[in-house]
Amino acid sequence: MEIVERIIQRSRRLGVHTEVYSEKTEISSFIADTGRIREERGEICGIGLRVVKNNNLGSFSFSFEEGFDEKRVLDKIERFSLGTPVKEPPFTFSDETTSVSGLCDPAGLVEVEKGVEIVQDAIKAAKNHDGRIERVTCQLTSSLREIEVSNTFGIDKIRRETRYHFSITCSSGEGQGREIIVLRSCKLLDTQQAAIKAAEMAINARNKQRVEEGRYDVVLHPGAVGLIISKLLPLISADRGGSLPLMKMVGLNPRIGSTSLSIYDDGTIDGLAYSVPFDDEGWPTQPNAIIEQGVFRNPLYDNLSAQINKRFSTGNGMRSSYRSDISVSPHNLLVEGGDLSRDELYREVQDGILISDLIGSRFDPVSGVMTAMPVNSFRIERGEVSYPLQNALILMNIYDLITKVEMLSKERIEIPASSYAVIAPFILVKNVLFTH
Amino acid sequence: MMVGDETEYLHRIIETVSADYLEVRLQKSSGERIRYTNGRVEGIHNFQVGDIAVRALKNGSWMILHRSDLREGVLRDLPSIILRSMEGLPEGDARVAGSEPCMMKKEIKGRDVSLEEKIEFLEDLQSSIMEDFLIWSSTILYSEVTVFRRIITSEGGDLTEKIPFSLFRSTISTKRSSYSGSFGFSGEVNGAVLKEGIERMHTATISQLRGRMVKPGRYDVILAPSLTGLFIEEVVGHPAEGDFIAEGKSHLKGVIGEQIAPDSVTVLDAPVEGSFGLMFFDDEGVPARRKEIVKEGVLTGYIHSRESAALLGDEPNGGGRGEIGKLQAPRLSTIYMERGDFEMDELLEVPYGIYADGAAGGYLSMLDQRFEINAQEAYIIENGEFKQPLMGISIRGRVDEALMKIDAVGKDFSIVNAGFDDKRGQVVPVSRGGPSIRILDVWVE
Repeated sequence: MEIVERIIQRSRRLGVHTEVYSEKTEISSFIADTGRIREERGEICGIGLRVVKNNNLGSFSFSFEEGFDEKRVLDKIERFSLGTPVKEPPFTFSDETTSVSGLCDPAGLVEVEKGVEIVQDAIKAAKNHDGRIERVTCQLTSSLREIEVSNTFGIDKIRRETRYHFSITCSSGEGQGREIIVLRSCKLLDTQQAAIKAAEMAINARNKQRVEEGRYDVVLHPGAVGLIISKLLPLISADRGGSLPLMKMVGLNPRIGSTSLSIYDDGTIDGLAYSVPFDDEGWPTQPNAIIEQGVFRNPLYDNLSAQINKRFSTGNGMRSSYRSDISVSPHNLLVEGGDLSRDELYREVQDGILISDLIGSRFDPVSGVMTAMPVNSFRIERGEVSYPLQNALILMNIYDLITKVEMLSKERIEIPASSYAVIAPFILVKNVLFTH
Repeated sequence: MMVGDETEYLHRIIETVSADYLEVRLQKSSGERIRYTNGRVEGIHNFQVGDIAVRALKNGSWMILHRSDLREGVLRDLPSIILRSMEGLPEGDARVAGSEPCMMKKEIKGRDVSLEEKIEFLEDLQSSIMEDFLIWSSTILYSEVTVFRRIITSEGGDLTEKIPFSLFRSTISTKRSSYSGSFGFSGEVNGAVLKEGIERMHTATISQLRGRMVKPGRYDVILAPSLTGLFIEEVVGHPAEGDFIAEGKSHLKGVIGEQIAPDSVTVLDAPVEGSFGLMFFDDEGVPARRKEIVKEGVLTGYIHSRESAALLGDEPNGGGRGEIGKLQAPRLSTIYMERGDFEMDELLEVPYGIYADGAAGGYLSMLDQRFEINAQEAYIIENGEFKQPLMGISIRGRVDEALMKIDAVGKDFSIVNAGFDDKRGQVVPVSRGGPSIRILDVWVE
């Protein structure tokens, strides 16, 4: 964008260091409920700016309106005086980018006729699959995003990316099933298959029975593993001298998990929906070993936390949009699988519970105590998954839990979170407390 | 076009686009967020952003168009884009209830405080905490934003408001646990209330160092105002949202006029000046109003958007809210219980119970009618006296039974607890509160 270039040039003349993040995102959503459909179409564009003046870092966001020009931005820069103290501008100086293919589908946004057809067909497929399905809601969102990161160190990088997000929820009585797919390529979306899976889940979750209070061996579905991993993010992201003392704890004893547990972040894998050639600060993405065989190896860094910790960025400085500041965020969190098939894992459980997902969680990041409500849980009896269970409450300490991870499935499933994905196996955890 | 005046284009959209119902939302926000940790500024983010969204209903289907670019060329093109998109939508069964067209202009003046003063204020709030050697870390996230909203509808309504909001999120950690609290205001920040709240959090964090796990079971529980707000939000606020009623998901469907709580309980959602959830009109251009949900124990009404009102044959009542560019739904704004007659020492008169404070999120499962609210701070109460501190607790139960178990409502009152409520992926600012209350025989763990 021309305005980006002009801001950079003027900043140089003013003698301040500036990083400009420019975003243009087009979004098209088709949302269908039984009997009705709507389209939400948006175009989000604006500028996220970071400035370092007199060793102070400030951050700004602007959208465009009539009369907008770089003058308004430059006025802010000129008047800026108070921010976060920094030694150096925490901006990218590397002009490298990582090669990631399949970032942008030339098909672009899904047009209205096609979008309507896709969601209507998915609803039909779910209902036709099983006549007991009472309600289906379905959403298809496509986005086309162009990001430019430029700074006064001479960095100027542009990436264009598409993302297709499809979700379908089926209900039958008290049973509910949900499938979510997030992809870079529209043609790979198998919405019919997702609809059938969601319908089957809803049917299987009917006629829930009560689970007795007590301690059970639990098989965590990758969906539940994803939620637990999300609670660990403060632990695996670098500290800015911030509110949580977890990094200090880790520094004392880097062995935080069982030897079966390895977690990596990798934003370089071709085709995955959250892979990118560089992060929102322009730093190239890279594979990062976070926990290897239970030992904490490397936290994730953005430029600022890297500077504070005397390291280099790991390419994890991300923004949810130009309106937010940079924060440390993973791309694709990969939990290494084990040797067992899913059925072999179930066979290890004589009397236990399969937890498909967790909601309503409360987590204390210092003590590690988490309570959450399992949804779509099933009883496992003598090694086989049997009947669905009514909602209960589980109480666990995540920091204890990761030391007890023993058995993991070979099979892994990708679970999209809001701004990253977790690719995780099924995990067997013993002795989890269930209450009502 | 004059800088900052989009009026001509807003009206042109209303005049040009033929739809069964049409509204244009304009929103501009400016302000800053400061992250202040352990006595130092960790981040300052300053923003000035604007959005426009057009929502059109034609043949029972919705088309919503959103732009974050308010330049003339973009505004000029909006009608043709909407018309083109509407053509591709099939017929549906969505409809809206009409509302008297309203012309309104409201403005609440904000305070003119420099960044340096704000940082000094944060330093003052945090100073006593940082002197305490038991505290590992203390963070305050301070957001101050002035929001300008304008909504023009095809019914002839034209409403504008400009309100400054402030939100303080404080987290205090010891080596054993952490404690978080949110305090929100519209208009002036009540510094005294905020300071007292943060100092109380500090004391509570320290007492939690001696906290034990509660023995799961049924207890008589006294809830502080922040938890009263969270409790009524989950057991009566969300279940009274018109879309859940229309979908048949809520236990409150079909029970208007029935006793659902003791006589001492009156619950409202209303535009309260000074609260973080304040709005003079909803996101559909319907003036906000005092919505009585429960009066003296009897269910008296629901929260409505235009769409849920149409589905249930009611009038919209200013509860249609949503993020700009998304479909509005019935939502809460400032929900509270009216105060009662009990002094605190009377509320505490239980042989063996629990006092709980520090709202830490709640959850409502419409599928099986169960709720859960979480408290970060709790104490055993024995014969009216505070005894053993407890670690955080969860209070759980059935939504259709919980209100009937309230047996005493306090004289105290607070609605500074604030945050963002998430429904179907959309977050809106809300406040909640009320007096301290006592609930008998609820499950705690």
